[in-house]
Amino acid sequence: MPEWIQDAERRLRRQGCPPATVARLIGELKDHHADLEEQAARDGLNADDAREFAIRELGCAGVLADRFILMRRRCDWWGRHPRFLFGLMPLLLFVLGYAGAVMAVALTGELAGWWQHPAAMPSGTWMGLMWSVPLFRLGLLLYLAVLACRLAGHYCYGWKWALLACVVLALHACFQFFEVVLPLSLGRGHVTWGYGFSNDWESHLAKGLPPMLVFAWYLLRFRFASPVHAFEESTPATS
Amino acid sequence: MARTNPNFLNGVPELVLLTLLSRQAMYGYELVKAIQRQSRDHLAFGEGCIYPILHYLEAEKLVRSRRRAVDGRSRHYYELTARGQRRLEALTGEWKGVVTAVDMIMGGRHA
Repeated sequence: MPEWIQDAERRLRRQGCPPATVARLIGELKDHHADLEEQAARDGLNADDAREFAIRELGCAGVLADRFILMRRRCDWWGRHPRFLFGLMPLLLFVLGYAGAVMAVALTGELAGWWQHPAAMPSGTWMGLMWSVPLFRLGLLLYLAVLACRLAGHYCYGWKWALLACVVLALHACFQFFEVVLPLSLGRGHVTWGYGFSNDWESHLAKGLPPMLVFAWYLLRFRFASPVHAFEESTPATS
Repeated sequence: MARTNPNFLNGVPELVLLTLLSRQAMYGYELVKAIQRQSRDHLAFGEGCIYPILHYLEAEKLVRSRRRAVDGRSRHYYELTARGQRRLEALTGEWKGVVTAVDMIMGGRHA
């Protein structure tokens, strides 16, 4: 592969462009390069001159890669506003998703009378409810972190913006708490949601760990993915 | 060969590519050669720059690509979509308006 094309590939991969997209673009550039070389050879140039001619006609690798990245970033409103997309959006989606789930549980409990009469619900269901809350929270955190990493790749924003989104989610998760109080004693049952911190740092850190693990997975995948392999698997050729 | 000013030609590559693809499906190299031939080399640019535009048009669903094996080589043929056809009609109308306006100004200067 000509050094020129390798430069463009490195630049695109450094910006976190999806491997399949990079592989496709590189494949097209290689074909174009080969066509130009053939054309130059037909015109009577020797192999070295033909290669030089092909590189000159294709243009600067840096400019091409930057242009590609710029077009990916500007293709829609979300791509043009990375601060909102990676800094604010994960937090908004988490709060909305979580608040929606909490309200659904609270309303269901109110309608079913769970909060007044513990006997209205079998104890197994109580346990299920108690476990579903942290599981839902974990699922939502993981989903949003994966989404942010994929969007960073889709818009070629690279790992730094994915890191921002994951840190925002992790910090939020560290200090947010949610509690379901069962109506087993004299008082009514209720759900509590808020923010706070204590000297139990290990617990705080554990709560913030999932988004950072997703980010670590993204970094590893980003570093070791084989673009050509990813592309050939995703688009079979037809004749 | 002199390179044309990309800022001055904002939006023109899109119009040119959609027009050519409305006639037949083509791959990148074919498109570049068609532009050079049909513009008699008036439109010249780093040939690699066509691919970011093609990928952008595809992301906007104005064109779609198909991978075809031709002469032992795998090619990406681009073709216009219905949305691309509508976009082409709109861009053509805008372009004709601009050309008419510039002609009027140029005509006025010389009058």
